[in-house]
Amino acid sequence: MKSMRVVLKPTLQWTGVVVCAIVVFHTLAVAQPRPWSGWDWLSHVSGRAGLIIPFAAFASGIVLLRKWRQRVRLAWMAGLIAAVTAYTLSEFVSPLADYAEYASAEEAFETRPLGPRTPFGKLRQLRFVEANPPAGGSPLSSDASTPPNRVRLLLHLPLAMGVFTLLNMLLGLLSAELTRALRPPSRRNARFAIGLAGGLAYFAAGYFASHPERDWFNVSGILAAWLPVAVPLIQAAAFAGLILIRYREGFLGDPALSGTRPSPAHEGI
Amino acid sequence: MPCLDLDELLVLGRDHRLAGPDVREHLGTCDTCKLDLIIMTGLSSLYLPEGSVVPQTQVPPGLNRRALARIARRRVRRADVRPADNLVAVAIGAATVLAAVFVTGTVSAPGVTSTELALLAAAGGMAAAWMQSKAGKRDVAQALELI
Repeated sequence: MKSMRVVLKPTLQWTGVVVCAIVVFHTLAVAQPRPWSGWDWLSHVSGRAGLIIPFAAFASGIVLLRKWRQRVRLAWMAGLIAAVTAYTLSEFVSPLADYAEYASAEEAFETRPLGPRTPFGKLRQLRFVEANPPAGGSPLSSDASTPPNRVRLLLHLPLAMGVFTLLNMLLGLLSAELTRALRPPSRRNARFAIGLAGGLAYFAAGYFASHPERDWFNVSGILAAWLPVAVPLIQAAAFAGLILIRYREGFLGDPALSGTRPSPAHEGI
Repeated sequence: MPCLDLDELLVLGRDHRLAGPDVREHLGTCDTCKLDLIIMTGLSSLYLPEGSVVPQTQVPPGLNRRALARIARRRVRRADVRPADNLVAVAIGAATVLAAVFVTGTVSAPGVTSTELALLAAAGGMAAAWMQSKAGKRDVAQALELI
């Protein structure tokens, strides 16, 4: 339990810092057409936190290097906890708070005719648009006229994000292993940069795959949701290959077996 | 190749040169066997033949203190945060906050100006540099604890 707290703490800290920065920036910089209610704030903060947690899971992967003996069990458990938390926040808490805000303003039926945009709501929407197929060129903003493939994308995208959370934790562990011989300041910068680059690469792939301008009557939504997961998979394979090459060279080149585990004093971002 | 048993590891722990190519290949990929071999290498020094005399060596006075001081100096030198490290941290921190507002869609919200984005990037960069300096000080303090 204590190990789990240690592993999950960096994800929580990074999520907290980034969400605070976004909320402060949003409050100061974004023009609001009306004052925000408590439901608005809950929907905004939980939605952002649910989106940031998968990217912040990279930091927990780095900490796993210190818990080498338990790394597999801890990685699975911490990854699952982070993925389920992110899914709950972005797919249940945020849409329900958003719907509650509309319901309190008695606009719910006009803006959300098929209910809140939870996974169950999206399934309802999918059944509706399959039974009443929208015409080509219909606006995506309306729930009732969204093409079925686009609704399938919206259903599968959060699940793909859950898998990305697990993979990002693995990437954190691999990049920590890859950079552990560097000077501590360079090591922190290198891990920070790898985490940022990996997150942006996945986001860019997801952005292009799920772009609203695409022809959602012919493009598979399920494929568009899951294809970006190939980016962290390729990254993980490349890192694992580099580590394997380094281990093999280290062992064959040094009879005293130089590839020992690092001391805790040398670790940490 | 399956994992090595303890007898094999103990023999290898005494002399690594006895490892054949297949054993070396296995040790290159299996972390568990590699760690066991490291432990066995340390333990094998305790397995001296019965009746043998343990060699006595004269350790110069203050060797331990001098060795620790040398390790500490090396760690302090490595932990030292140089201006270039801070500059890189500023750049990555600024990029991170800009990426966060972009990913969450805040950047395209109405009313956001480029000046506000620049201020946000500067704040992110300063926070990253502060974290880098703080972590550097912690590393130096840990290294000095050795002495």
